[in-house]
Amino acid sequence: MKIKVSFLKEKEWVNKYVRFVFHIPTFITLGVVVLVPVSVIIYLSFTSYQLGLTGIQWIGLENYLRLPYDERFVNAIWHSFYFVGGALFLELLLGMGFALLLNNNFRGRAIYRILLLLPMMSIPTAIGMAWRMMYNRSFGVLSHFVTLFGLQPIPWLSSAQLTIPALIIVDVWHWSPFVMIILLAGLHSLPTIIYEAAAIDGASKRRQFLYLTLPLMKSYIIIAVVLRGILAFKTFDKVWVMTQGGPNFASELLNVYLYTTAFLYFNFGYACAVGVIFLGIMTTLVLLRIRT
Amino acid sequence: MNRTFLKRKDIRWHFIMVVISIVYLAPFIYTFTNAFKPRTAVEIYPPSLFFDFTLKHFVDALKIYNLHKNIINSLKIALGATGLGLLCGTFSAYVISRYRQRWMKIFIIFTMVVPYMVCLLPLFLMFQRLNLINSIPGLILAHTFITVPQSVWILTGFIDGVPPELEYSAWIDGCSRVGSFFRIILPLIKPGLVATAVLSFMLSWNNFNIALVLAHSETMTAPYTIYHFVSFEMIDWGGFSAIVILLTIPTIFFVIATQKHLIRGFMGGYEK
Repeated sequence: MKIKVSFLKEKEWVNKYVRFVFHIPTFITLGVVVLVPVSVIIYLSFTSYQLGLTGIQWIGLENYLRLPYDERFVNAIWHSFYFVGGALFLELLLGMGFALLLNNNFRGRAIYRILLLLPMMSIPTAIGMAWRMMYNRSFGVLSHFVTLFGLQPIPWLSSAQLTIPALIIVDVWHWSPFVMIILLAGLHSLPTIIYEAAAIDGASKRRQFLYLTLPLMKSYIIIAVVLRGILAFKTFDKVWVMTQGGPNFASELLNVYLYTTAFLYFNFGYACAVGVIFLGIMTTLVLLRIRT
Repeated sequence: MNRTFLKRKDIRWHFIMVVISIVYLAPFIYTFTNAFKPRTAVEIYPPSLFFDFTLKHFVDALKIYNLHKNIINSLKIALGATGLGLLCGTFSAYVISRYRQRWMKIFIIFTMVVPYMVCLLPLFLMFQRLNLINSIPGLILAHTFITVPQSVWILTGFIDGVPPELEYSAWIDGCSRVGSFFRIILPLIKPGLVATAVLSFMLSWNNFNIALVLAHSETMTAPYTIYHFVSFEMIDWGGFSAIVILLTIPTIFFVIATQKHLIRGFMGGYEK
């Protein structure tokens, strides 16, 4: 493809300052879409801005002082961590299981890799609705299969205790292939010699897995946990489509609470304070990751 | 050519994997069959595999819910966001990789960590003032929030894999730095560019949050059509299933065609 950039090449200063010039497009786009919003949200968190109703009035730390007493906010933080923790744990299990299965050398296993990849590629909103259909109280498959054993149908999305586990299951279904891919790459990179040596020494399959595979996979597991963990905190569409915050706010994640406060209650200033705290939590988690 | 195409132990594995695949993909199968069932057959338990075949839901999807328009919107936005992502990504990834700019890497990581909602609140206000709500260019700009950091991240990994010696020899021959970027790095990065494009497209196509906040009637995206069903008292499960089929089948073909690139994209920065 012919790109007319000869004018760029001739300019002396472009070549000298490439390291900055090349960042111009990125800074323009990300500046508008990230830097400016983050600054605005920090500023607005100190105001009492109600969307479209009042003007912007500086009120200092009042929003932040209200936060710890706000039950929904504290619950939202707990729900987010509960959701991410549960989802991560199960995704690791399932992902590792799939990766181990696909690691065995049998002909034509590529098809299964594609098949198992499909949930990850689907539209999250569609996945949310499909599972909502299955969780449905009146006719959902997942609610009613226990009637085979004579029990009452399980009210997945209408019960406060069951709703986050229900969401976790959906997330696990959606993202286990992601973990599987990463762990599969890790498994492929393991040398086979050590397994042969272990087999000669009489180690059982279980032993081989626990003491050989797992320690060697540590870095891949960490990568999977970090990548998936950060993504998991951002979950919004699945939750919104399935429960909109759950029966009586029982499944309200931080994201959902943020959206509700800002756009449904129009409490923008307060929402910005929530947002800043949310951002702070995420940044802390990432900094922890960079440390290790 | 081997005497037997499939050994006996292969068949055993296939059997296990088929069972697992069917169980795992059951939600897909369930939704797909629901799209062809009349309303009454959908909302009963237990769901049966034998039913009256009907195409009414598909007709509804196109007529009532304006599906084709939303798909075109999603397409435009995804293409625009992917293009912008590649543009910014290639340039930035080059300097991050060659000059080892740690600070920029940290900035990109920060950008990837920020939750969409946190940025969407102020963006909503900004777009309101600039009259960008409900506009395709506005949405493309908003989607770059997803595509640009991802592109930079993955492409940095790929450019790291190109040995700098190739550029050194070009410089000796009188090529400028920028020139070597266009003539040497870019052609060698082609698989990386494809992987990034595929991944960015997919991320932008699937996104829902941004459309929820920043879009309105004219610029609805495909995922929003699905959400549309939630607003009403009686949820049209059949219609929803039909829309899911219409939206997922292209995705399936897309995945099959590009799965190698997608995997490479996901593994991006950790390639050896």
